[in-house]
Amino acid sequence: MTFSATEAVFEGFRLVRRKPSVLIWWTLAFFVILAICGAVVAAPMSAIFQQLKALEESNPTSIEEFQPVFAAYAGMMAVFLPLGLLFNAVAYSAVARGVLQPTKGAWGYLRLGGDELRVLLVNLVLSLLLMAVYLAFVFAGFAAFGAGQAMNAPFMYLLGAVVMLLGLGVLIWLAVRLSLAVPLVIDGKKINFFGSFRLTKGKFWPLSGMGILAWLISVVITILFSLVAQPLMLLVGSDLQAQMAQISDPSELIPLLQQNLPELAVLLLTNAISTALTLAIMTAPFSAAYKQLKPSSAV
Amino acid sequence: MPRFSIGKAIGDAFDLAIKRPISVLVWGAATVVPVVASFALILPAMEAMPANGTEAESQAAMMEAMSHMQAQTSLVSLAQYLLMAMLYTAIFRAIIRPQQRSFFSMRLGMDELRVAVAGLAIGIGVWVAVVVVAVLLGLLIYALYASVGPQTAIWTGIGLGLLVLLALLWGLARTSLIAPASVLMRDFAFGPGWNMAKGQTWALVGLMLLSWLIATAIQLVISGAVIFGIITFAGAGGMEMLGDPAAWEANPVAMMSSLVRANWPWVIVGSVVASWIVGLVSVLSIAPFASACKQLAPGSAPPVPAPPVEPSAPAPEQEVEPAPAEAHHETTATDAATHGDHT
Repeated sequence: MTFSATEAVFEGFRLVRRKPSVLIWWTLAFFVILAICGAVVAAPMSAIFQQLKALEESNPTSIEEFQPVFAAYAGMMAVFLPLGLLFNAVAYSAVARGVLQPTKGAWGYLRLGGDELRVLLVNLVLSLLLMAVYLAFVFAGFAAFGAGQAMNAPFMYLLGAVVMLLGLGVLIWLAVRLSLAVPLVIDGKKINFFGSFRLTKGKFWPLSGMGILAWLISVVITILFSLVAQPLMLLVGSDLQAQMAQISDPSELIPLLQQNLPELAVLLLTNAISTALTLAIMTAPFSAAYKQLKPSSAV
Repeated sequence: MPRFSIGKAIGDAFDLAIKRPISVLVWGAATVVPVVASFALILPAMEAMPANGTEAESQAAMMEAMSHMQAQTSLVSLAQYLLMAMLYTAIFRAIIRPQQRSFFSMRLGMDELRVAVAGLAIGIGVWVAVVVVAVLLGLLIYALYASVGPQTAIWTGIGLGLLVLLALLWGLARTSLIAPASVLMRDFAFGPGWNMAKGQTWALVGLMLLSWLIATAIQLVISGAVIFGIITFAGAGGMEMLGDPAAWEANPVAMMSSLVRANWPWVIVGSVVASWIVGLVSVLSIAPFASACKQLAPGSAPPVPAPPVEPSAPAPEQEVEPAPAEAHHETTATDAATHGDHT
């Protein structure tokens, strides 16, 4: 059960080398995902921007006037969040499958089935857990700040900062210990919230080192990709990004995008490629780590 | 405990600079050319911007020009980052594997990726550590100020601040061998690089300070010469050549542009000289650490599998050159002859 972090770090590259078509499939998938997200969000956001603009001009005096904006935002999120969670689960499952079940390569390892639903559930529960733990520390920190102010005890501010930093540390520790949850669920084909804890016992530092390395490599690759993609985009004459940067009135953003659909499509495509690359490079190592760490008696 | 010689490290750096002057020029150019290029891109754009941007349309035009410029400069910064990774790796390679001389020791491969990643990791790590310490220190000082008194707070602040500075230097020195070790071992060498510096950290701090002093001294001497040259030029009536002072005030950018265009051979010569100087400073700052790494390696390198890996080795990210780590300084003529400069 020896674990080599530096070997696992390059699993994303190995995956693409084994089956180069995954890049095409995942780029397509992300393109579709981005397009769907954009379409879902466009009309509500447009309405929200309009409402905000109207409110600004009418000089609001109370928070109740913002209620319709909050309601519209909540309505949009009610559709957007589940979609986002589902897409997330599909993407992560695909990468894990690519590493753990390399023969099931149809559709670039993308599926929509039991695996994805299990991953969605596990991801949701674990994310809520992490958020709850972190918020607990943040609230404790704020409580310390408040106490410091109330009791005029300035050292409480220092304590508050230490508590929040501690919370960040705990969050990172938990995230690393739970990082093998997705490959565990894909491999075991059943729901397993905390199995990752057992697998990662004593391996916190190598795993976090691997995670940081994988992230840095993905940053370098993204930089390289931008170096190639940006001049190409400028060549094609797409200055949509420049136009977007110039908008001062947010309610003009959506109409601008809607009027420049071809250029928007190109922008989405480069974004999709970049996202697919980053996903492969960043998440595949964890599945490789799982492969190295799992008890060999498992299937 | 293995030791390294600061004198040898600095000596190796000077050796490199003297033996390979063209490489020094190219390495300096890697830093200077992007800067000149961004000026070349910005100047015409700035020239096109109207002197006073109060009307609505000229402001819109200015905004568009600015965002265009931003896109171009961000591209140049990305290229700069890539060139820096290549530069550092090239200088490391020139010391660690001097037989790989072709293309001024520059390549674009796994070594560069590992150095880029190591550099990023150390840079981000240092930044995070400094921010966290600064926040905590600030709150501590504030608390002391509010409870005990300003005197205590200030003196504690100064004292702890100095300690933090020392700790920062220590941290930079301890991690300074990670990047060259990654080139040496052809693998990520965070562990080995960190261990290599064990017990030698303050010597490495000394090396850092010494190479910084030498580089600064060289730059001072050269700036002194340049300033002397400028004063002579101005004194000998050269100011008239620059043009009408009123025109400079009205539109400095256009004047600078036309000056550059009129004297472009001098700009080229100046850039070449600047490149060589920048290259020299780079070599003096970077090469000593590769030398220190090379000196410290044999005793503390992790056990390496003895037999050389065949060219058909499975891990494709390894370079085709199969020489194992500890053979680096026993590189014989035969080795060089067999493998040559093949990448």
